[in-house]
Amino acid sequence: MFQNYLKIALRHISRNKGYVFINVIGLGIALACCLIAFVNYQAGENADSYHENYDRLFMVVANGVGYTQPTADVSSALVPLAAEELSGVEAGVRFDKRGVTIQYGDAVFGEGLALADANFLDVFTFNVLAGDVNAMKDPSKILITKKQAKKYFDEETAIGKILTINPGQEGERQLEVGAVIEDVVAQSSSVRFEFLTNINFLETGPRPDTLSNWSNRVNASFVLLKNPADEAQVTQQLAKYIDARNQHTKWKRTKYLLEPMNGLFMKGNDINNNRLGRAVHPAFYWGPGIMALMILLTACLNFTNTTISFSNKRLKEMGVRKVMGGGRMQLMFQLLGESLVICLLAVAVGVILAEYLTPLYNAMWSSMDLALSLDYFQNTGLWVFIGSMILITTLLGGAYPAFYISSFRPSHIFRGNTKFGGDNWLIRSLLGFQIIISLVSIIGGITFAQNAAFQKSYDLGYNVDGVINVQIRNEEEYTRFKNVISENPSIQRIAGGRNNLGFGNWNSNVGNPEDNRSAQTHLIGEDFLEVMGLNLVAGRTFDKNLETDFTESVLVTQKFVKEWQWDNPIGQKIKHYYGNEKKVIGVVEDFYASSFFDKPTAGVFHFMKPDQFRVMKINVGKNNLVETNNYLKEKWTQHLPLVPFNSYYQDEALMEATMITDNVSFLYLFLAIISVLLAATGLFSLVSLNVLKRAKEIAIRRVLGATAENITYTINKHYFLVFAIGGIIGALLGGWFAGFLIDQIFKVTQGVSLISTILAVLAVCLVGGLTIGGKLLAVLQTNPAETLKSE
Amino acid sequence: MIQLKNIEKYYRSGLSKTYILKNVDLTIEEGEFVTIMGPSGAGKSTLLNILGMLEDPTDGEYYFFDEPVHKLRERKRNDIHKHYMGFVFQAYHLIDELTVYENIETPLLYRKVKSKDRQSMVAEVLDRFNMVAKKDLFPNQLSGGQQQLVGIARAIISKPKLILADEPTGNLHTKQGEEIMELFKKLNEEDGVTIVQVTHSEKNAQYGQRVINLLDGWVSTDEKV
Repeated sequence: MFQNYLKIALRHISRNKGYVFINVIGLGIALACCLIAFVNYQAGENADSYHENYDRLFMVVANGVGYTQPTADVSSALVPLAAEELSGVEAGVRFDKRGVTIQYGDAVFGEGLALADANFLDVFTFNVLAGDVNAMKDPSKILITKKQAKKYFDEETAIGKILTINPGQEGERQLEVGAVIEDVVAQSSSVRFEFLTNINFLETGPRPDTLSNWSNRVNASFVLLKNPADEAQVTQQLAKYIDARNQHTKWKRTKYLLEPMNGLFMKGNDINNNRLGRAVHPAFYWGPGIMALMILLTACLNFTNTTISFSNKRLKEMGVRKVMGGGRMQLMFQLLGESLVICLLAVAVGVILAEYLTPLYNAMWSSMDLALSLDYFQNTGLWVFIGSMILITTLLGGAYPAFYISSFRPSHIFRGNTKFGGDNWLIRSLLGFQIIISLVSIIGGITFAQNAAFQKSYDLGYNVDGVINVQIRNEEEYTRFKNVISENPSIQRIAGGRNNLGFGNWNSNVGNPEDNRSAQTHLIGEDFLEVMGLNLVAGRTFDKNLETDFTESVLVTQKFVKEWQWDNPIGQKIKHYYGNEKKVIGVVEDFYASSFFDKPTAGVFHFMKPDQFRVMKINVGKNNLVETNNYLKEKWTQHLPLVPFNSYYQDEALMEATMITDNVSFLYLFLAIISVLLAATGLFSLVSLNVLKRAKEIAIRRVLGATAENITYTINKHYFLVFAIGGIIGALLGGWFAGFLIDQIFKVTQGVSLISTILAVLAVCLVGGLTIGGKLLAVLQTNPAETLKSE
Repeated sequence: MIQLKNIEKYYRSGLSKTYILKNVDLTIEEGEFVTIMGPSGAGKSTLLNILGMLEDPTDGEYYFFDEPVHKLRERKRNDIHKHYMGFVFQAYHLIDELTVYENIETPLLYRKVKSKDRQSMVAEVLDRFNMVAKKDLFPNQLSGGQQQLVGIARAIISKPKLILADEPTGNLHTKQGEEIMELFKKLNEEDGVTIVQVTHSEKNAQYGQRVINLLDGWVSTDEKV
């Protein structure tokens, strides 16, 4: 029986290549997109799960006065004490990261050095590829990833090599490579590192931090519970450490909380001061999934539509089979089996296609270091997903046709009065759905494309285009390099700062902690405002000749003035950033420091001397950026050969936003093209069928003198309605969804324009019109007499 | 074997009824060869379809081997249909995607006959109809007469007690038609299969033993040949 079904399915397929081709390709593309969206989602959902202790690991965070979200900023003294004293806690691990330069022979690179407690590798799971698994316990050792081992030592064995670590000012130290660790995949790890050593590193050296000090802090503190069910109990017990901390600092904490490792990766943005590195916006994980499902839905709708349309040919077979004794269930299984064969073919196409598309998708998100892959050998979830996709697609696309076709009575079929086609309300609704999805995707595509253009020309309120930033570590580097390059005429102005606009600006409390107010912190040197093109709207700027400006004066932004409702800001006194009371001497015009992701926030500028500088800002104008950057690099390597040259353009601050808008609009347009093509094939098969079914009627009407317009109207009056309803719903839904998505991601947008909706509707109508028109033309060119003769 | 009591078939359109069959009383004994005749639209095919359980009468009683078919559930009716009846159509109605062999085999699949038995049963029929050489051809590679032979082979493969034939020679040349009719006669006489055929041809009617004439849904005459 099964053989018989398979045989007939294959013969049916080989006789209807067009139908099979359309559906296998359509479903194949949809499944490829779903596969990529699935591994993309998995990457976020399963991040960190490779740690054996995944379920028992928690990050310690705290609620505090002045914070609306919990903060990762907890005292470095906390977790060792908790591990020692609390029965439910098996271990505590602190994790920190410092910028250092690492030197081996002539090679010098700026790197991030991770520091962790000795038990780090016992608690977290990272594979040691070579060397001593206990190297973490020896403060004279450093552990490096395979990638870094290759970078520094080529293919030689890295173990035992001595690296010179320079944390910045003084305190250069030699550490021996103790182990090589497998590379940490950025997309699946909250805890990431390239170089790792014992946290003891911080407590030694010329200016040691005392980690047992309650006022000290580390980037992240983790606890490993004996039993994950103890979470609530441990949370309660942690409360006893609140006072110890609060005695030592005025930024009071109210409660310690445990944030499970399970989900931390996705939640990273909801934790203040999360210094584990930039977490990814959750939309990045579910957004592509929604789009892929939309493609799948159109492909399935199309599958249903074309299957029904092509089923006229199957009617006789179904009738015969019923007469031969085939039950309805048997026939439904046969038809579903045929859908299954098509779905399996589509899966094959999808899997191959996904193999090609995955690297392209990874490359689209260049700055995110995305490394998705379809690993069929290890990823069992992928098989479950493919299995359920096959099931869903077969049922979604094949169930209705199977149900419908098997329902006819053989006596009606043989009498020849059973024909079906595009006049069924369900088929019309399916077409309506396709139109809606097409519109949603086109509107989204246009909206994001327009938004990209809008953002590119948007004035952020500061100089984004003509500034090169060079990383420096101390005053000596600043002064030396400034003197060297001042002679270059294309360099207009040079400034220094401790932090930089657009690259990780942080908030600090303003006033007293209980006021619950904060403002962005800008630590700037002389000429910073001028180089960055920030405008002063009241008062005066900092004066390097006035010693009091460094200690007693601040500038604030307009937004700050507004928040504090000052009529006359100049002369007001505030406490901000380490708490000294300072006097406002000027007001700076508002600007968007965080690219397009946030609105202008209240900000406070503090004046820094060159010994605090970490970045040198060089205004070179828009036109000779690259040229000047090369010049800077050349001069730097000449004069500071042992320090790596590290520069970046100011407009890189917008890079992520630009990448996101460009990519989202690209994905949307991809979706739009596919859904429009699929809708057009669906429409074409419907109209063809309708024309076929009504060939006689059309011929008679023409013999009776109907014009082309009359015929067009007669055939298409149902579709006009479908287009009208689908168009209205699609336009509304598309506008709403594009607006929703763009607001989720950006704070500076143009919104959804009327033009995008109108263009989308026009495009869909045009494609629909051409599809129908093409078919009609063919009908009108046949001789009605011929049609009638053959009927 | 078959007893019809007051069978009626009509369609309602508004308040009026359009009758296809009216007051049909009919008894057919096992082993009979019955011909149903009558002008177009007399209700011949409808009657045949009702006998074959492909259509339900609007009213009346239908006993098949004393089973009240009109009261039976769909499943039970399908069972009877499956086990006792074979159909032959004017337009042959072979499945185009299947070969001769597979077409003949299909009814056995629905009767869950084992693969080995199926092979021998199909082989036997092919042999009997002299079609062994053509078993791997598709219907469109055969002449009309050959296609109808396949149709009959398919109808008798599961050894039905009753064959219902709707103008079996309607699409065939005279010569081919005669061959087919001879075959029916042989099946009736040698195998004892009951045959009910619908035809326009007086000549074909001569092969049977009894002729029922329908006129506008009524049985107008019912006589032995």
